[in-house]
Amino acid sequence: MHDPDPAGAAFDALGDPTRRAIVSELGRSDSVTATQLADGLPMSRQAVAKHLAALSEAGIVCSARVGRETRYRLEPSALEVPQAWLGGVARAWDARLDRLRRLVED
Amino acid sequence: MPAQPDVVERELVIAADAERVWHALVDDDLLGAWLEADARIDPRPGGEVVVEFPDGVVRVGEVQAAEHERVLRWRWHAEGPGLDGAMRIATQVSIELTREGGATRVRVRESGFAAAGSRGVGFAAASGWVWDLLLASLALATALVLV
Repeated sequence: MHDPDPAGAAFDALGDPTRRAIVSELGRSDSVTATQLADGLPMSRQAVAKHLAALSEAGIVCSARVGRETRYRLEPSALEVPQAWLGGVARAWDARLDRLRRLVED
Repeated sequence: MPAQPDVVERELVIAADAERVWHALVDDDLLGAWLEADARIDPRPGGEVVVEFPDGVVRVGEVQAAEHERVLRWRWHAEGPGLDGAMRIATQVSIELTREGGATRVRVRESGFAAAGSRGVGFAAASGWVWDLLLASLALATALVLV
């Protein structure tokens, strides 16, 4: 699936609190299996696997086969989008406040 | 670090009194001058705020609070062609003035990136949360702490 709005896709996938919990777990470790994730979360391995698939599709999580296991980890570049976006909001306000200062200071 | 994950907060102390700064918030021409846009504001609760930026983006909103020389708050969202989901999120802008001697501390908070809305719900929910994650655990954001 190719979404014309990749940022939107990533964020839509993260709109679900369960998926956020999964990503939070992934943030704590280098890479984990679906079984390991399910151990730390109040849900079945199957449910975790389904969410991991959605997160993979959105480009937030990537997986690699290691022997007989599939190991999942966060895709760091997925997090750069909101980071850059919020950074842009902050910079816009910095510039506006600086103009406000120059406007009202004598 | 922000107390809430979905808030962008910036502040600046300006060497002018609150009356003068306030005037620059509620006067159309002055507001437009520092926003670098054509701005119209009706500075009372329920009043309209319309800010047309030179790139064609128009931010439209409603004033939520206007306490003379203290607080101006509005909620706005962007309209215009070619906007991505992120830009369409309605956010709240709060501008607070605090007197500091003859100077004025101006604090701007833009929040609501994690609020539920229509399109961009996921974006909104995630951006605030991802921001939190970045700050809390991933150490990717060390170069970009917003407050």
